[in-house]
Amino acid sequence: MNPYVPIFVIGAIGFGFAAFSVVAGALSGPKRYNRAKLDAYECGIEPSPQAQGGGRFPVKYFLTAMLFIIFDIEIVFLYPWAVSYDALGLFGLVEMVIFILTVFVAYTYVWRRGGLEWD
Amino acid sequence: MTGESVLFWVLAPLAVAAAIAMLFMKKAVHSAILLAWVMITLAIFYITLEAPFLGIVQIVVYTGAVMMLFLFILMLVGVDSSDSLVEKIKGLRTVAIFTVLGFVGALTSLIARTDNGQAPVGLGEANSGGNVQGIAELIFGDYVWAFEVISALLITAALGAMVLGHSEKSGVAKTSQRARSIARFRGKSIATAAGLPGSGVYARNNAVDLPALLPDGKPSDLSIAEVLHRRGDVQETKSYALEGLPKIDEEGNK
Repeated sequence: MNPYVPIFVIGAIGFGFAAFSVVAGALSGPKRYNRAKLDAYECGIEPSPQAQGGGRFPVKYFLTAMLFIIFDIEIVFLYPWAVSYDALGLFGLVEMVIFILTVFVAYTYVWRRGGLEWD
Repeated sequence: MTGESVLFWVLAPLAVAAAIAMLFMKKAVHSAILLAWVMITLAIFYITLEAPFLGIVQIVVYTGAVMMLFLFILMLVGVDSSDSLVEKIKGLRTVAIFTVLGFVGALTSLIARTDNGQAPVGLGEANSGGNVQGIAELIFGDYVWAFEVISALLITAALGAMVLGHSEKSGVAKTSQRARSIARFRGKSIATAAGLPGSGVYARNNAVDLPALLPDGKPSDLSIAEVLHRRGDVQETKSYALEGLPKIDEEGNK
């Protein structure tokens, strides 16, 4: 069997479930709309018409996102290394240790400069 | 016609259409969604070209991490902010036009020199020991130096993010819990030593934006978080005030 068949089956099940939920919910549920039901849900607070600062995020999130990408890329290299760990031997281990240590320089820099502190 | 070419001729026009539409979208978020679609179609192309690892990495890194970064930046800039048509840097437009022309020229000459219509050769040998194993052999064998230099690139990314996005703290020292506790009991007034009143006490409901009512029905400003005061999101409770009762101030003195 083609190894991609299970992936397509999973995708089809996911799509089918989403389509079924939306259609079944629209057909079977009662429809009584009022102002409160159409409001945005905000934990009991009256929703403010305009978010603070025009809905803009603080720039702190950028640093978090960047750190995430750095470790994401590290994972991309760790995966093939882990798969053929036996074939690569000691040389591969040394390479990966050097790589991880160098990436940790970036992490340590961000951490020691207070980039991870939120307030 | 093979399955691969069917897939290509179905997905390639969709990818190109999405890429062109991305440029003409009015809203930046719509452009981002179209870009995500282009990246996913690229991933499918990689997988059909016998490079499944690259395809999965394309989804994980590009549609996952890079798209998330794009969306974060949209949120930083503000979803509703529109493009400024004023040239901020002098001569940027000219440089941009020449760069695009040069890039198009390079791409055209590269594509013109390929041997179109030939079946791919060597895919079987390249993937003979498994796709991921083949990549591992190349990265950790032939291209060790490039692989180690990538870590330097990642350091540069972290440095750039710190320089652009991080501001050093001002001289104000962080107050410790101990210092705050002492200030609470030895401060000017002991009225708040037992803690601030909770929101919504004796009021209509206990939502965080509804001030607690004092015994005389007067709303207590202390019961609402500072941030809601500043946003102007505090509910009106004047109508609950009772008349003819002795007025009590926040500290409980008659």
